Amino acid sequence: MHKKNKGFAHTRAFWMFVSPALILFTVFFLVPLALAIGFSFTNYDGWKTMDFVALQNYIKLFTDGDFYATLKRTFIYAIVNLPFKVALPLLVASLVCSKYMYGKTVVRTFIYIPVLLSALVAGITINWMFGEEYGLVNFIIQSMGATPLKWAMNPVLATTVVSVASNWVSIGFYMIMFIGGINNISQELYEAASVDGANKVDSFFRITLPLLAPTTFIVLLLSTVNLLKEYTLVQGITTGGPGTSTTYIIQYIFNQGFTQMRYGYASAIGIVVGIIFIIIAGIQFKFSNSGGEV
Amino acid sequence: MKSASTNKKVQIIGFTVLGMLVALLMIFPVVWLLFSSFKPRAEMFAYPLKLFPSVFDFSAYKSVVEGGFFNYVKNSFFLAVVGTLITLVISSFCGYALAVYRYEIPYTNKVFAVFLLGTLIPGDILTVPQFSVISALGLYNNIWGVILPVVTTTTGIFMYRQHYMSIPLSLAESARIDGASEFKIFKDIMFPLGTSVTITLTIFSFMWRWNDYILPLMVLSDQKKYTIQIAIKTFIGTNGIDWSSILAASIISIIPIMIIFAFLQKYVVGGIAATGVKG
Amino acid sequence: MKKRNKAAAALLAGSMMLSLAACGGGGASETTAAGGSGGGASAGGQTLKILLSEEPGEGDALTMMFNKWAEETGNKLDIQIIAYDDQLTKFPAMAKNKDLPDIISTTRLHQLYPEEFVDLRDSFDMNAFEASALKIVGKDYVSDKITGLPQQFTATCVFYNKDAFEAAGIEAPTADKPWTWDELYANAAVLMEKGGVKYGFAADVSRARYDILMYANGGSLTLADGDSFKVNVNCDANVKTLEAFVDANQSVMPQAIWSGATADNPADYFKNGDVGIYLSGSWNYASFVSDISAFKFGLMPSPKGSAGQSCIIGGSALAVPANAANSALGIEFLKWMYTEENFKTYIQADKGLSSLTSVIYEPDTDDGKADYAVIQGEVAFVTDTFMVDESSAWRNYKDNEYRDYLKRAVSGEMTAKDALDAFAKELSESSNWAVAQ
Repeated sequence: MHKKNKGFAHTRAFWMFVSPALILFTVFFLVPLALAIGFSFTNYDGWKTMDFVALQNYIKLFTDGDFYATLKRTFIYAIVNLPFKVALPLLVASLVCSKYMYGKTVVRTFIYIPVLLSALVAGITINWMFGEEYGLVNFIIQSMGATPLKWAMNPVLATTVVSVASNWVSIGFYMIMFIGGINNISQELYEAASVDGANKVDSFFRITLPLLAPTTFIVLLLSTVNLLKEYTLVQGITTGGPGTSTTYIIQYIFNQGFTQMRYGYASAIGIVVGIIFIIIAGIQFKFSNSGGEV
Repeated sequence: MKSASTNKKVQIIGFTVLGMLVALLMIFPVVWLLFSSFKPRAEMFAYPLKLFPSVFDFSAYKSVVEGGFFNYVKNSFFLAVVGTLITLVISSFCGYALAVYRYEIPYTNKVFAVFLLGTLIPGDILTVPQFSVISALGLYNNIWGVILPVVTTTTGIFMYRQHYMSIPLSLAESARIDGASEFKIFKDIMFPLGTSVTITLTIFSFMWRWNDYILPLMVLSDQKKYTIQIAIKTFIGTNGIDWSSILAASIISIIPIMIIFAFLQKYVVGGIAATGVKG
Repeated sequence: MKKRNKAAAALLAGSMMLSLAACGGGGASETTAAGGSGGGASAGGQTLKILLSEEPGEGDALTMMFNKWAEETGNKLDIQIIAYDDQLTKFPAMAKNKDLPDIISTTRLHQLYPEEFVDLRDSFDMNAFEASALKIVGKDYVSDKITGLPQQFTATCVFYNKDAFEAAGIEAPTADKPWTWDELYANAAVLMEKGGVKYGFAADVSRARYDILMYANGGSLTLADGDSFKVNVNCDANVKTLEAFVDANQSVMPQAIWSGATADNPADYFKNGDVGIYLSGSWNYASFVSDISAFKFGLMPSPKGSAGQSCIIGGSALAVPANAANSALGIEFLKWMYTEENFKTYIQADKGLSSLTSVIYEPDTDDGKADYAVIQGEVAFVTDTFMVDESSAWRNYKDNEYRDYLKRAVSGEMTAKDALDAFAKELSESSNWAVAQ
């Protein structure tokens, strides 16, 4: 009896805690999502036309070879970059949390500043560094008498530049998440380990890494999704080229849908892409024991 | 004894130098950006490259500031502060509940999965239907029409959830035995334990709201209510981009969030480590 | 936000401006009282709500006219700026909430949503306008309705680096004796060899540049077919044109630009003296005059293709939304703006082509006169094929896809033929026009 009451009280408390976020989320996200799902079966142009077209949008999408090519390119890009997206901020965070490091405020702030740049400005800045014509890196290569690199025309190099840029603007963001996680680990654990004769590397792998699992999971999931959604930054650097070599799936949605005001079609692509993302996130959850529980 | 202290010194020098190098590598392109913002327009993309402008030209800054930029800063500031406060309250409630009741209530993970949709669905396709909802609620050209739709953030709820998962449930349990209400447990014990996330989310949320663009653009019709990002975009013209103004405006716009970050990052500590409760 | 322009406006109106976009000194800034910012109590006393697509540069000609009008009539201005790309999202949002401005400067809204705009034939004499400007910039694609009055009227034109030409010993072509495209490519190669430029030739990434090659060789995107159209984009002539363009990209052009591999603007390459010949638009002229000091530049007539010379025109229009709160005031402004006297003032500040037959821009330097004559000459080369393509409104079905297929051909991802065939198929599917070939 007592137990049951408590269960009810907790269920009530749970919903009380969750409802403010859930209500806003329902009104401003789930309802629009339902509308978008509806639009995906129409030829909605965002304003005047909306006729039911059944599965036409989906059929069109699934018979478009470019869709699969773009999806594949997006996956490769995400998989190659994912280790960097997680490892670099983790290493940087460990460094700037070390009690042996001085000037933490300055170093952390400097690392964080690129996060604050808009995609447009980040793009132009990266172009100043890696531009094929007027970039600093090619300038240096040339002044040393070597042949400048084809940062734009070579698909692999172009992808590399986009990857560098993407990491540059996100290291600070994930670093802050890791700093929170690292600071939550009790110093006593490290002291105890050190008494047991563990060195820094041992401690990192045996204490820091396991205890950071919840934070690592969130970084892993968010950076996966953000890599898959890479778009605005690419627009400022390679605009998707050469050809289509750096065109990823969100750009595909924009090119195919929004620029021509084909909202119905854009919605259909967005929903298919969303479902793919959901499957990927689901797999990550499965493999991490429901979200990095410790 | 002596060798231990020498060893420590070497470590300090090593770590500090390494940290500075990383910081310099990260900041260098921004330094380039900063100097470029003082270059006369014709020099901005000139070759051979020069880091320093031939003359420091403040005209872009001047015209940006005189173009009413501070009014936009004020609007963005209001949006960021109010939006962040709401985000902190609702995300901490929600993330906490998703973590702390996870063994008792079987569907917590399902509720969490619903919130995860917020990041998994490409948000761009929702702009138009979202706007219909905002209009239907009578929030067109209303500051709340810009704030309320964006305050629920998956990342924020996610961060709190992950954080409270790493805090032992025994803490809440002992307070319950003392007869504390669920809300009181959260308010007095658990929320303070989440300080690191609260600070981190404050930093993030402030930045997100500061950079919000598409919703303010669509919802606000009165130029006086515009935010910084809308103002910056107006320098992109049909026939080209006014880079001088964009850079100047961008530099001005990141200064406030940079200061907030520099100030707040020290406090990204807390939780268990700060209270001394063992994990 | 706009008031600061008033000082500049007054100044410019008087002195006939030297440079459109002076970059040096602090510039116009005092929030002036000249326009009677305290005013509004005068006869007019109404507020004109204006939507522009970009923050006007210093001394922007259109802003100057708005301010002048406000001063003369005692009306006030309420200027709102929405970036070009975002107008497509914002305009329907405004319309749905009955929150439309009284006048809009736009390149396409009035043609995309003709039913939302006032038919200006009722209030203006259409014979006063350049016919081609009216047709391309002002007219609804489908009906005869004129939904906007051409304000900025631009044409494609070819700039060249005079210093590089001199160094390479190349004589620039003249209106009587224009080059062929083959000659242009050949000379571009010579410029790279002897003229001290990195690239002989460059063109903006826009189908409105590439297409002048296509039209010059007698190609077109569509063919008229009774009341309807046929897709002609993959005809043999077009494939040959694209193949030649791909070759030119590999030999004398900055290939990254047209491969869609960079956000760089080729105008910067030209300004840096790295490009010998640059195909762009007449609106670049004013900024080149003010920004280029390291070398002399000039304009040449467009080269001949197998079918002759060609030119693409475009621009932006002033349009009045039918459901605006005060569309009458919008029309009142237009009536004032398109008087000979006021439009003359405008065009002298804008330095562009005039859309009124009775008004032309009069440059104050000899070089300026020669350059302007070339730009004006180009307008005569607008081809019928271009006019047919425009009337088909093919861009309502596909637009970026076309440019993107061109990019894929230039980058080497696809052959010219495959790229054009693929685009023809897409265009045909969306428009329901048959492919001619």
